Amino acid sequence: MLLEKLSNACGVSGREDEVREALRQELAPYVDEMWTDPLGNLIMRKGDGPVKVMLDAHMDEVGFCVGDITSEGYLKLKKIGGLDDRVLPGREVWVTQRRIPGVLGAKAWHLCSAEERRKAIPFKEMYVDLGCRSRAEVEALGVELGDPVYFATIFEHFSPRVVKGKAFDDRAGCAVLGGVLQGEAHPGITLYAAFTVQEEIGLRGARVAAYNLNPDLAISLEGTGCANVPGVDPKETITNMGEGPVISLMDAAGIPNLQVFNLLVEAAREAGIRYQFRRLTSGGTNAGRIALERAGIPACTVSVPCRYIHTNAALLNLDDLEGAVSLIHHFLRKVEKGEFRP
Amino acid sequence: MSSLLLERLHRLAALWGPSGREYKVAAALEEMIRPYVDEVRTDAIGNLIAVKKGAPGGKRVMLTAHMDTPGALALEVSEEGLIQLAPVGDLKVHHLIGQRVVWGSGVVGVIQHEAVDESKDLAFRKLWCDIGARSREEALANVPLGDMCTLVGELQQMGADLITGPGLNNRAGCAVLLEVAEHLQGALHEVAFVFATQGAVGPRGVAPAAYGLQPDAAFVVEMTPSGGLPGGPKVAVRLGEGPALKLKDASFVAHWRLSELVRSVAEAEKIPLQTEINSDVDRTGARAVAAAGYGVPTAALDLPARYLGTAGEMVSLRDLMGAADLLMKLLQGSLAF
Repeated sequence: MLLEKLSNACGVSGREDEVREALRQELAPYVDEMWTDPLGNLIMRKGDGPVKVMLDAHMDEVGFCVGDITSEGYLKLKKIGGLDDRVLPGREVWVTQRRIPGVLGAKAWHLCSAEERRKAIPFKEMYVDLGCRSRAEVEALGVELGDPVYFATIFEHFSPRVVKGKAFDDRAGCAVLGGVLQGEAHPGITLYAAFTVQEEIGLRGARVAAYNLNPDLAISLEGTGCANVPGVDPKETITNMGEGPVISLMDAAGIPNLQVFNLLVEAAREAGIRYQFRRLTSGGTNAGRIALERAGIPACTVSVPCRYIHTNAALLNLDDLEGAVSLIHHFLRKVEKGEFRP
Repeated sequence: MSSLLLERLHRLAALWGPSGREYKVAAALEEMIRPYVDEVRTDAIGNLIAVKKGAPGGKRVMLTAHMDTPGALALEVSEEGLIQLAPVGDLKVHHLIGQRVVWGSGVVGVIQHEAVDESKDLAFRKLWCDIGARSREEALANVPLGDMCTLVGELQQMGADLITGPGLNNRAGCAVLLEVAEHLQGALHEVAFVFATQGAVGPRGVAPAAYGLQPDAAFVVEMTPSGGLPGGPKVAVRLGEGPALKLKDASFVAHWRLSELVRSVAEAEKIPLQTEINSDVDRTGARAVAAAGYGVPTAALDLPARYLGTAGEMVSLRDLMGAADLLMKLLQGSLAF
């Protein structure tokens, strides 16, 4: 399964090589051409129709890098992307792409004062314990400053349709995009699949890809927050797992182009695909940045709901992911019929 | 003063056009500017670009004002038919409570807030819009999720010079551009009037427009908060004392030589001009224009205003006319800087 392979691959922002290689291998049979741009975006072209459509999904995941190696042989980390300190202590991690095992340590509960126990442990007090006793032992493992650190999470099925893994933001989007490439061809479209870099640290790769490709329209494919879980008011769930792909109303980086947005909604309705809107406007996606490239590019975001996103273990429902693939195909058919009129 | 300025201001301020959904404003502006220009087009993200041709050897100049207003987006609807909101731009909770709004569908609503004991408990997510619907279904039939609302209300004149009402930011800037388009004599330079999208959430729309045009110089006309109010912004700019040349804000520093030219023309033509330095604002389109493509020498000419983002925004007609005059005089000169 593509999602499994992608979730198990490791790639924080700027270190997307493993993900890029997995995508190359899996998707080469389905595309006409592929190349990597100077920043590291992996671009695939399928078809050569008159309308240029860019589908974006970012390859990078949130994680850490080694910021310091202490003389006692512990690692101090720097965050890459947004991570909630409360979910970090005690997590198993992999250091470097070689997956050297470690654990995120912090002062133990029984050593904490009453006041400390009421608060989240500050990130700067956490460290990675590799079982080493000195800096020399760490260096002997080949660990250096700047090396990437990942959640040590292996993809698995919780049920036939619900899966667990790390980095569903945005390997879910990569899997949707891969699914689109593996599916029907759209002869009326030049489809550019842009697997982009460095989204989590400021929507960086996609703008370069959009500048180079200069498409007629673009859709960003994402994994997005989802909280239909205990203790959350049903009004506040952002999205609901199992209730279909998500069309964005607005986010911190952009307001969807009205024509693209309407066409997505029509495509879902006509094809009878269950869909939902993202009922939160904070958080930014690549679509907002793509929209501003060159002389302007109509864009919108379509997402897969992911519970516990940006943690070590996210959940998603494969029906939502497959629904997103189906939605994009129906959308592309409408574009082929000339229904996108900017 | 053009007899049309006030009329245009009334018409433009009354239009529904929140960020990203400016099409009604663009249509009205297209109709209003068409008689004065050679070519009008809309670009891929909704900017309206009207071009008045120049003489050979002239420069290519961009005049821009964003045409959107802030508003709120329909995020969810309760079983009772009340619409839950998310902000589009910088509207403040306490400015919205009790206000009337209009939705893109044309439906009118009233904004209210959950009962709270203290003002610190006010929050945008506790606001709702009541459109008089009796159920979720009835509300959604009138306001689909994703629709946006903006403040409504008549503009009113205060004395000879001041105008108050919602929607002036930045339709007043648009009215200044129309004034320039109408009265500009002598086609020395090619002038592109750009009515930009998504200024209230950005600057966003204006950057692609500037990239597409790559002008030799650009003038951005927006609004800036004026000072002299209790607890208000600590700035020197005052309402009614002329347009303000922005030298610096939190995201922009002026192109020095172009700004010197603006100042010297204002002085020579005896047009009152204020100097603006405000480190608390950062949404100016000027920063996006300046950095577009290979870079654009950009000057920001702001209209002083009170109470931005409320139903009672205030601007001075004298300031608007001063800005239009100054821009015309600049465009009628050699624009050497």
